[in-house]
Amino acid sequence: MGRGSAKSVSAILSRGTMRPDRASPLVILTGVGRGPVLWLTLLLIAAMFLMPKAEPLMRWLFPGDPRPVYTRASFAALTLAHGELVALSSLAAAAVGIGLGIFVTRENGREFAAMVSAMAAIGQTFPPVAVLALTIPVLGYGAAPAIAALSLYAIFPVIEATVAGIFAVPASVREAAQGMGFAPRDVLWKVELPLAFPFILAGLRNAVIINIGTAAIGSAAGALSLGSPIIEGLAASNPAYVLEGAAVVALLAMTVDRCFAWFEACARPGGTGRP
Amino acid sequence: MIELRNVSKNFGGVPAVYDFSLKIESGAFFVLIGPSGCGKSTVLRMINAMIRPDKGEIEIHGQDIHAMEPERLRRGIGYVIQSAGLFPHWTAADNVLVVPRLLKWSKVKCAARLDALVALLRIDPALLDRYPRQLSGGQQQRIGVARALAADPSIILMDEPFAALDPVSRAALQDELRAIHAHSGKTIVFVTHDMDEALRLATRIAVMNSGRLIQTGAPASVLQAPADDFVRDFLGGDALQLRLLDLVPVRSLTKAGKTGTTETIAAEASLKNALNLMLARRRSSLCVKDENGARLGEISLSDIVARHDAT
Repeated sequence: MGRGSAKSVSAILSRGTMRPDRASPLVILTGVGRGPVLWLTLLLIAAMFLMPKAEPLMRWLFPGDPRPVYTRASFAALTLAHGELVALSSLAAAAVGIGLGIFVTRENGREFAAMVSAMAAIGQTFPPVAVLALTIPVLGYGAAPAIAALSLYAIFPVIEATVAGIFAVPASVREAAQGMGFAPRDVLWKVELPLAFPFILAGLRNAVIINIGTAAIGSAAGALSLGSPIIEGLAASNPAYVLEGAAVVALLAMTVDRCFAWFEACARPGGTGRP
Repeated sequence: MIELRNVSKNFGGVPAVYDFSLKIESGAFFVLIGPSGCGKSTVLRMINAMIRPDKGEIEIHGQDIHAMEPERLRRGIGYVIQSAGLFPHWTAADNVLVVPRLLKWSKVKCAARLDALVALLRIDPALLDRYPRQLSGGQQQRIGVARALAADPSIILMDEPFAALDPVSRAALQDELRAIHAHSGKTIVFVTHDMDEALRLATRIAVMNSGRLIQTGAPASVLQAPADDFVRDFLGGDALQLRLLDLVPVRSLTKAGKTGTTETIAAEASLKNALNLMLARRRSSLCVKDENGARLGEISLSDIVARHDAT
């Protein structure tokens, strides 16, 4: 991709360094500074490893609960398993979604645009719990049905973003690329995808954040996730477990969301052009 | 040489270009002119195979362009469009070097070419690291022209390249382009609907209307003998005579000898400039000087009128 991409990569790297002299932690936590990524990450790590230490707090919040901290699995293991569900399903959704988005914006794929968009929309309106119920007989219990349900759920925002991004490339730019002698493959890789990149990144961000919240239902199919304490808490009428699971899910979602925001900000001014 | 033979193109059943034949000699500054929708851009875009004609043949240097791979054909032809169409995610320098890089020129050769183009088009080197959105319209199109010239193609296609620019940038780029054409001997095919622009630049003009070629020839001969009322009207109707004056340099009517006036005009200025100056200064004659300031003689109003009678 020549100098353009090399530049944007170096811009990302050079802008990626955190500045320690930024502002007070309070300002950063409220999201005014550029540094919430760091603080949210620290909070998340604390929640992953120090949950047993929160027993006095939980005991105070839920008096009368004999075992107010979930211990069947460590929160570190739960978070990693949760992250794995999200990562695998998002990767699958990205591959399929970006691929389909590219396909329906090619000349000979354009006629499928409406159909693909409709199918993706149906995929998203289908409740993930229902997808779980339908896929368990085929895929069995465990992570596989959860990943299938989450992938299906996340494809729609990725396709929409990819198509929007590619259609947003000015006609004059595409015409110039053709007129200069770019092969269709070069128009896609050197012009359309770099210019659509901010859009695609925004779509991926949506998909990943939605999946972090939704992945908790994976535990209903027997997959290990941060949904495990929530589901056990619901089954055993132990609201402390529900709170613990939900709090870590929320922290994970916020951390990842901030990471995306930071990455988008880095990617923008360097290479990919669009205001 | 570029040759189109009996070329036709329909868009959705509507003919855009009909039975169109044209020869463009190598080294010509060939201007295709006509009202909006007359098919001139379609003709231009057929020359680099961006549009494929329904009927007819197009040859460049005797070779059928459709026998070539379109990408290879286009890399050998410069292309400039109205809105510049610079790649927004690349710097000005990267934009200029697009085609050399597609042709896999070495870094050293690219750098040398960039320097040459910066000098040729008088580009401020400080602009090279900027992104297109940080450039003015005139600067963008200057980069657009440099990009078209980058791989030193023998043919350059330009589709109303200066139509969206302010008059000052437009005139500057026209001068630049005319000088480049004069020095390089490149074939330029230029589409415009602006008659003044056509007359400033062209060595040959082709007037189009409704997808057909109406008249082709040297600018002066088209102006002097419009083929029909459409051409006459399009050339400016009543102002046609003034346009004709625009094509003739003062030098051609300069008479050597003493002059009784202190108002001076350059020998390379047009008769229209001379007439304008006479009207402005209320003089019936002007002193003519060459580019070094040496006095060549005198031009008089009566000579301009007399010349005009002769044509």
